[in-house]
Amino acid sequence: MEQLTTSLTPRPATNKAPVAGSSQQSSGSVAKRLGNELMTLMMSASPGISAFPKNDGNLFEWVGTIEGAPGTVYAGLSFKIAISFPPNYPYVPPAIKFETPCFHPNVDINSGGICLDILQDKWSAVYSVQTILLSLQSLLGEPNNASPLNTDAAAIWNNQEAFKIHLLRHYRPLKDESA
Amino acid sequence: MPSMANFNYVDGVNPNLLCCICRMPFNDPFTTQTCGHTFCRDCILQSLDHVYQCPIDRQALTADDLKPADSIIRSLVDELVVECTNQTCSHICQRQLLEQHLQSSCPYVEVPCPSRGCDQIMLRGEAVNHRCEYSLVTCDACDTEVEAAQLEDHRIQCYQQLTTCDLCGLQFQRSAKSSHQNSCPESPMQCPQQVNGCSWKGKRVALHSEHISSCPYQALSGFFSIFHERTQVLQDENTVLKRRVESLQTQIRTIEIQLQSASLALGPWFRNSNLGLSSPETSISDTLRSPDLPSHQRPRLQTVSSPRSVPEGDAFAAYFPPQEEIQSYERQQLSAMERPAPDRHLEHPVRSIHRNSWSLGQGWDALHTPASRTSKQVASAVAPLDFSCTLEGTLEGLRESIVALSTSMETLGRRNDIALTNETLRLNEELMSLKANIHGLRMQMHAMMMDNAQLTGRTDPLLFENSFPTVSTHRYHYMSNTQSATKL
Repeated sequence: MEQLTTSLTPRPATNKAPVAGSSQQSSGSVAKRLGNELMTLMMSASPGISAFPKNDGNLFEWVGTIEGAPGTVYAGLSFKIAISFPPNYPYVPPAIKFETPCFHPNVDINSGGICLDILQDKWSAVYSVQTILLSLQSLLGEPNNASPLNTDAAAIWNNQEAFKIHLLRHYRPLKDESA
Repeated sequence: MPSMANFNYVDGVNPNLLCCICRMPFNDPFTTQTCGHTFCRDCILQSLDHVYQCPIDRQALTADDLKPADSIIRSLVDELVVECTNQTCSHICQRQLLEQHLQSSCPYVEVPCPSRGCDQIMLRGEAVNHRCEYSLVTCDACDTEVEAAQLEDHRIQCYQQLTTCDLCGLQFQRSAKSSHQNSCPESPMQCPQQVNGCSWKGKRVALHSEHISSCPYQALSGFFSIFHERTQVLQDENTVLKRRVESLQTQIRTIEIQLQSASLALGPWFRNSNLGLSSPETSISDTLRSPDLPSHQRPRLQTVSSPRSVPEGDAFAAYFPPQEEIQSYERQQLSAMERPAPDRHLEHPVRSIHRNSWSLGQGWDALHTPASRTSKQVASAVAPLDFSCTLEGTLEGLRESIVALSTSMETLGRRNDIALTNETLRLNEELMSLKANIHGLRMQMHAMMMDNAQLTGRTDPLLFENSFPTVSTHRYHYMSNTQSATKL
């Protein structure tokens, strides 16, 4: 759990040298890049993933949706994702968690926190919302059982029948929350 | 250039020229020497602040591994067309030229007041017309530039200083500079008779000492002044005359328009007045058509000349309606002339009506020539057809003659009535006397019959009647008629 909380908090920008340029200047370029990403997402129809800002005024809080890939236990299920961009995005990763309870070896069933390397130390400035959502979609079908957040899920992953029963027990339909 | 990261690109950009980090065309691109990836300088340096890796392939990377990108990449992105970063400015140019635009020419850039010492900030477009106490103005005495606020102080000092005239070498105070310029003997002058053609040029001192005495134009100056005066008077007169001619021309033009409209309305009448030039009536029409005659004089002339043509002044006056009618008629015609296109179509039926009335009048006149011979009264009532008259006048005359005709017809009818009544009375009287005579005869006859019956012894009148069958039928018939007539 502790590992999770540390991973969720965005790393302070000043952990190395202070960022060049004022925060005001960078927020303009961040907003520009986020607008650019939103445009790209809407233009390219990626199957099973979508994301939009929560409200019109704030580009730094997004809501995304991931559908389980066909052929996996998550097929036919939709999961809502909260994305929060730090002011020094894209040099630090956005904070991402599942809003819909997700029974998965690398997802905390209570807080929705995700254990994924690219959202932590493997983050790169060239990643985008689209790449994050695609990675999460593939993570659903191919969990990293070596470093589990949800040990119960990791334990029964090999028994897909039992896993599905657990999955559906925790799953809340998307509709209630997205309304 | 690095300070302006937010360009608005006019056209779409090749995706190969986009930085992976900011997703915009490279701005000051740098390439990694280790893996050959290219980023904006700011983007990759900021990324290196967080992790010493290439953002694309995670190879180890430090700022030392970066070198400026190839010049071809720089040229490609520098030549992209962008909008000016000032929202209000509509200027577009290549990206590399935008900085220069902002520094030197963009009118929406805020700049400090160009005058030294003034700390106001304003847009460049407004700075040109900006005036403040630090603006430089030129002193009129010494031609040096001083700040506007210090001009008064400067003048007080400046005016007291001595200066030397460049031309004559005289020393004087600067305040007297302008007065000296008007009196300096060395300043170049032109002859005052230049307007009259003298081409002499020289120093002021030479003008009075040498030239004036010898100038042929100066000798004629008295003549020139008189000449100028006269020319002036003539010019004034000329302008007055020009104006008068212009007003007369406009008057003529309006009268011509009126005349045209009148001729259009008159149709055949107008042409006839032109043909009969030798007749006395044409003098009227000529005076009518002469353009310089004021309109209010026309009716008087018509009435004056009217006794010449027709004995009855009243009958002729009827041809000329009162002036109000003429004027209203002219106004109608003028308004009709102003919109000639639709009026042309209307004009033709009107003209044909005029022709009809004219031929009708001719026929009327021909019909009544014998009548006019026999009865003088009727002849005077018929209007003579005179083409010098206006159409309306002629119509009026025709109407009057019809009225007169109807009156005479009425009197004729009355006279006939009276004659008939008289004759009837006379006949009645004669009839009555005849009746009385017949009655007397009948009585005599009766007495004779009675006498005869007494002689023959037959008293019965019926027998007597039957005894004269051949004669009595006729007589009886006659008598019974008379009896019935008397009974009636």
